[in-house]
Order: sequence, then structure tokens, then C-alpha cells
Amino acid sequence: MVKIKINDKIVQAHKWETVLQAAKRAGFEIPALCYHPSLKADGFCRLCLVEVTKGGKTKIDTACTVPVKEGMEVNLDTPEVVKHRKNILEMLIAQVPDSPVLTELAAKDGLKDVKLAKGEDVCIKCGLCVRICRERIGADALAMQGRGPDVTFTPPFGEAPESCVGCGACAFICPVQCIDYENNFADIKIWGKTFEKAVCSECGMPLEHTSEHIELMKSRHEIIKDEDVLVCEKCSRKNTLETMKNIVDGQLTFKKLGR
Amino acid sequence: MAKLKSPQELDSLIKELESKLDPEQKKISICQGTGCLASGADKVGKTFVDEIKKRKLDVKLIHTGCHGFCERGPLVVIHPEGIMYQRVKEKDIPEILDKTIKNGEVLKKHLYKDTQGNRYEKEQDVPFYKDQKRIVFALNGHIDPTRIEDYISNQGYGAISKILAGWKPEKVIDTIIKSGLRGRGGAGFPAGIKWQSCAKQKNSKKYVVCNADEGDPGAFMDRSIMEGNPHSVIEGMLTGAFAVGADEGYIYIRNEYPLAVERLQAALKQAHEYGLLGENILGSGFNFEIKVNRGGGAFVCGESTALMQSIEGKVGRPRVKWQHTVKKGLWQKPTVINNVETWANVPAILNRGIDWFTSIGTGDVTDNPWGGSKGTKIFSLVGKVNNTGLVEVPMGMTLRKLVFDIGGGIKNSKKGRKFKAVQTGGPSGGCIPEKFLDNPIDFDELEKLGSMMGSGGMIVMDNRTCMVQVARYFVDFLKEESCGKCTPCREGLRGMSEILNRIVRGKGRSGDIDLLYNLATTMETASFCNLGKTAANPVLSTLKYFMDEYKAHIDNKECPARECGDLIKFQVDKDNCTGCTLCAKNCPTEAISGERKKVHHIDQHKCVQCGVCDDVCNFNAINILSGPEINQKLGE
Repeated sequence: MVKIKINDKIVQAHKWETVLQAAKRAGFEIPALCYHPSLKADGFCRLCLVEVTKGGKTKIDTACTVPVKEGMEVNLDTPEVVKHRKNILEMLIAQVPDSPVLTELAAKDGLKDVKLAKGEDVCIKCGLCVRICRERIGADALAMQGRGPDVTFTPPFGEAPESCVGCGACAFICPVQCIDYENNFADIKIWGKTFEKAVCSECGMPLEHTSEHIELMKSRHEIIKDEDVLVCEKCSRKNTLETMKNIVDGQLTFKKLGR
Repeated sequence: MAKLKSPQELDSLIKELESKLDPEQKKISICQGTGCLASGADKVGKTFVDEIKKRKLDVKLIHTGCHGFCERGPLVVIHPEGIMYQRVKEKDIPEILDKTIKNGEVLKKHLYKDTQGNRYEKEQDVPFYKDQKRIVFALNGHIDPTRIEDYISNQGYGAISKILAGWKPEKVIDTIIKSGLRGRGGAGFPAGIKWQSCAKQKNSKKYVVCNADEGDPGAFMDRSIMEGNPHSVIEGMLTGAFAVGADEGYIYIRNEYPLAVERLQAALKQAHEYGLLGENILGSGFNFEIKVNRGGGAFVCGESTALMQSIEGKVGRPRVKWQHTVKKGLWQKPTVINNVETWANVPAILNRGIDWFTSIGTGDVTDNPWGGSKGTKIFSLVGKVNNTGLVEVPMGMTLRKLVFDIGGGIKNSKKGRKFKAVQTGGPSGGCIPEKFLDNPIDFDELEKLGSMMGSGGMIVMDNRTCMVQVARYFVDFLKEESCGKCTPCREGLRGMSEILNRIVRGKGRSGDIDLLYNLATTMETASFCNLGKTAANPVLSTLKYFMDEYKAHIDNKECPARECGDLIKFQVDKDNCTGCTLCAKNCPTEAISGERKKVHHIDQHKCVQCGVCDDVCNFNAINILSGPEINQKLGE
């Protein structure tokens, strides 16, 4: 563990943590739109600016990309930090004017009038969708495309992506909910494609996952077996109950179960 | 050829090749750099070969790399006298051979003539070359870059031979630190310190990388080094690899430099054949391999982390540096990245010693490698100067000397054009106004003035260059080249571009300057990589030194430099016009009418403000109006 100081409060942090993680764990609030605990920080949105002093040097940096270090001092709300954060928020709001998330953040920082020319975008270009698809799901169906202000986060060539498995993680993680996603009774619609949901091998009810997603999970994690995933919640519970009843009745032993 | 098996064998080869050089031998060196090739050096070179054959002359012909004086290409230098002929055409060649080579007669018409009308016979007397100090470019005009023997005969690979004969890596690093060599790619980080930190990483595969992704508008020195003397870069990298303990190197070069790629690849092949690359180099047990990696033309790939991403086969976008590149760089292994010019300086330092190198330049680096700027720097002098081209000068030369002595002053000074500013450091640099002309140029001084050394681009501007347009140009360039990953760079540049574009169109608003400042400071502090952090420099430095121009655009709708098409009108001066019809003949939209020997008239509805009439007029009879003047003088 290392000791760091955040807004005059001494905080114990794991040495592998970033300032953002340590601060969040200690109950501090730092706005961050491109951060998710399950992903490697990549510093897209730059909203989590903080003032960091280490080794006698003070500079403003993003909390998500600065690893903690013994004796480090962090200030979350210096006038400079607030000023730059407000400017970044203004840049985002100018392009994505109708996002409740941004409006709420702006209200907190007292950002009132946006002087920059307004756009009509819905995406804040945080990159979470691409990163979760690549790092966690493993489908790699989305990519960051284009350069400068023309950057977009889409499937290759903007077409329905071949390697998409319809897991919906991108839509789930999007902080401004700008990815069209339909979760129906028997199918999932996303990126212009319709995915049939897999069905329970016992009762035939549609499951939460698509067949493509289950196949991908199985190929990535050997431990996942059909009998574990191709059963709906109800049947799974029923099976468990039955097993327990059998054990209690003495018909089944753990040995027989193979465990 | 046989592989060299020991440093001694290399030394004797150097001596052997050196002894074959005859200082009295007649030689013609023809520049085959990209600049001269563009003005026809290819055909000139071939014609020389044919004509010499026809005449059966005993003269050695060398197709060299860039000589630097691109403005006057194709360049031909005749040795041993050192006579320089400029703008040589195919048809001039027979005469040159018959008169100069056979009879030693100097052909005046091909000599360089300055603006005062003086002609210069010898290359070293030409003002453009006289004040230069050539270390990296020393061999550029003398050797054939496609022949490794030419390089070796000039002490080439002498540094690596010396090192492999028994130096310890620490000694090499110590030499580079004490020499005060700072990275020539822009930031000026001491190269030796970088090597030292990388050498400290133990038990790991390591890489050395040459950053040849030169992309600044108007900069082409790295290209000329690679085209003119590729072996100096290879030798530098060999030295660096030995010092840090790397066995693999990459040269990341733009694919837009086909000639440089070709010459580098040829040079690598030759170095292999001589056993100067590959396994067990010179029998020392040191292995080193260099691969050439071509970049797809993204400016941001010059940024070190984006460059590594690109080499690794990913999209070239900057990535988070959890640890320094010297600890975790390419493929998460310790890596040293230096610029082409930095690598090319290394052999010279090792050959000629610390004292020699530290005697050139500014400051004192005995205890602190940041204490000064040592050695030379190559600048690409372009823009509104008479002598454009590549110049290598000692650090600490004043801007005035560079622009007015070497550069030969401002173009069209007879038409009243005056020096206004010089833009250094490419899109990340800034504009330096006239009042700082006598400041010495080095890493620290330029930074103090709000600009930077950058890769060494130096764009000279005259009083007809609008500084708002300059800022707009660089911001638009960077807007296209920003990777789009982080908000401040992507949106900040978008915002700035919008504001600057409306200012030059005369639609500027009163709060625009504050808005520019606001965006600029946030970009400087909060951007992800140095592209974004420095992207505001062109705007900040022009705001700092040329605020009055911004204000004139916004408040008076006036362009003081008379460059912004939307804010200017052209009018014929009734008193000066002689009715020569030249302007009417050249006007692309036929907006000018008038009889011979009578005052001409410009139809404002047809005029597209291209400025051709003003360029061609010999009588100063075109007035360019802007701001309130337009209504006063043209208002009907």
C-alpha cells in the first residue's frame, strides 16, 4: 500500500491503482466519461483532470492515467482544474447538445452558455464501445475510424459487422446511450443486424445471450460448458432444487454427481 | 566482397580506400536530391554520363545527395577547384565539359549571382554556404549515397570500429552525455541521458528506433540526410544499439519519401554484405539488425507512442505511457527513439571527440546536459527568402544572420517587401517577430520566445503575409492530422479552425480572441499527447506578437497584410498606371480593361482577388484596399 493525499485527506492506495481508482474508493467524486473499472484506462475524454504534485513538480493531468506514488498530493478542484474541465465540457456539449449526462455535469460545474458553434452529434467519442468489444468481449467488431473531428466509432466500413455477436455490451457501456439496441423477447437488434437468442435446452424459452455470443464465450473460456449456459434461469433453479432433493433423499451422492 | 571480421580489418579497409582518393582528381558532383531532381537533375546527370563518354574525358562523376541550395537546382560542383554551377540545364553540359573541364575556363553565366549582382565562383564563397558549418551534411555533396565505399573512404564506420575494438557501452554513453547532444526531433531531450536510462534496464530484449516520420510542412532535412548519406544514420543506430544493448532496430520512415526508402534499403544491404550489420559484427559478438518500416502518412505517427503503435501493426494513435519508453516502449520492451539527425550526429561525435563537439554551439554542458545546445542544427529555410534550401549552422546563430546573410534577405525587396516574422518548429512551433531577429537560435531561446526548435522548419514571412492566415493554415493542418482521440485536441482544433476561418472572412466577433485564448490554454494543459499540447502554439504566438492584426480583422474588417481575399479589393492607381496592358493580359478572369497607354480599370464584380495584377505590375500601379478604405475609395 502507498499513502497519497487527496484534497488534504490521507488515502491508502494499492500500488497498482491509478489516482482515479484510489480517489473513487476513498469516496471522492471525479467526473469521467471514458473510464470503466473493467477496462484499461486510455485517456480519451480528459474530464478527470486533477492537479498532481509529485517529486516537487505540480502539473495538471488526467486522474485515470496517473499511477499512484508514495507521497503524491492530489487536488481535485483547484480553479485551474475547474476552468479546464469546464472548457472540455463545453467542447463536448457543443457537439452533443442533447445529452442529459453532459447537462448534469455542466450544471455541477456552473457551465451556462456555450460559446462554441453547435453540432448535432450524439456520440461523445469516449471509445468505450470499441474498447469493451475488443478487451472484454473479444469480438473486435467495432473500430475507431477517421481522424480529427471526423472520428467515428463504427463497425468496419459502417456496414453490419461480421464479427459482432449481438452481446449488447457496447450499448450497455455507452455513457450517453447513443447506440441503437433492441432487446426483444426472442432476438437482439444491434448495428443493423438481428441476432436470435439461444434457447433453453430444457424448456425452449429464449435465453439472455445470443447463440453467437455463447459460442464466442465458449471459445474464449474452456471452463464454460453448454450445460452451464444453455439453461434458462428457471430451469437452472429447478435442476438445482431437484439435485438437492435427491441428495437429501439419499438417491444421489456427490460421488455419483462426479464432483 | 568479403565480410569484415574484425575492427582491424575495417580500419585497414578505411585506410586503403582513403589512400585511393586523389585530392587532385577532377570530379563533377551532381546533386540528385529530391529538390534538384524536381528541377531536372535526373536528365542532367544522365546527359553528363553520355557526354563524358563521348569525349572520353578523365573525370569522375558523382551523383550525390542534396547539397542544400535547392532554390538554385540542379546544382553541379566541379572539384578540386570547387566551382559551383547552378540551374544547369541539359543543353549547357557540352559547353561546361569543353570549356571548364578541358580548359579550366569558368563560365560566368552559370555562377550564382546575389541580389546585388555579385557573382561567386567557388561553392565555399557563396553566401548561402559561407557561414554554414556542416557536420551531418559534411559528406552530402561529396559521396555517392548508393556506394558504401564512398562513405567508408571518408572515415565512415570508423566510429563503430573504434567502439567495437574494446570500448565499454558505458564509455559510449558517457561520451554522448558529455557531448551535450540533444534530440533533434523537437523536444531537445539529451540523447545520452535517454540511452543511459535504457541501458539500465537489465535482462530484456531492447530496441532502437529511428524516427524518420518527418511531416512538418516545409521541413525536409531528415529526408536529405537519408537520401544523401544513409550510412551515417545506420552507423549512429549501430552505436546506439551497442551502447544500450539492443539487437534490433527500426527505421520508421514516411512512404512519401520513396527515394529515401530506396537508398536506405540499398545502404542496409551493403552494410550487411560488409558484415557491418547482422550477427557477430566485426567479430565482436555484437548482433544488430535494422528493419525499415514505412509509415502511411499520418502526421501523428511522429509522436513516439503513435509511432510504436504503428510499428506494432496497430492504428497509429498515441497510447497511454504508463512507463517511459526507455522502460516499456516497442512491444513493451525498453526502447530508444531518436530522430534521423540525432543518429547522424553520433558518428561524428565519436570520431572527433567531445571537446570538438562542445566547442560548437551555446551554453555549458559539462555538468548539465540541459545547460546548452551543442553542435549544429539543420534548418530548412523556406518561404519569402531569396535562398531557400537546407542550411546547417552552429547553434546560437542569430535569426538575422540566418535569414539575411545565408538566406539572402527577403524576396522582392525591390517591391517593398519587408521581413515580418519567421515561423519555426512546424505546426507545433510559433512565429517570431522582427524584434527578436538578433536573438541566438537554440533549444532554450526559441522556447522562451514561445516557439520551439521542432524538427527545424523555418518559414520566413514578409509584410504581405497575414498572420491570421498563418495561424489558420496550421490549425487547419493539425485539425486534419489530429488523431481525434482526446477531446481538447479534437474539439479545440475544430473550434479554433471555425473561429479563425470566420475571422479571415471578415465575420469575426468581439469575443473571438478570448475564446481562442480559452481553447488554447485548455489544449495546452489537457491534451493527450504533444501534438495537442503544442497545437495551440501557432495561435498563441501570433496572438502574442500580432494582436493588432487580429483586431484589425475583427474590428475594422481590414487585413493589414492585404492577403485575405474576402477583405481586400484591387484598384488601379491612376497616377502610376502607364497603360502597359500587362495586368489585363495576365488577369485570369478578364476583370481588367483599358486601352494601351491609358489608365486601366478593374471590374470589381469579376475580380477574384488573386493578386496576379499586383505581381506583374512594374509601375507599382495596383493599390490593394482593405477595411474602411474600400468604401472611401471605391464607394460609388
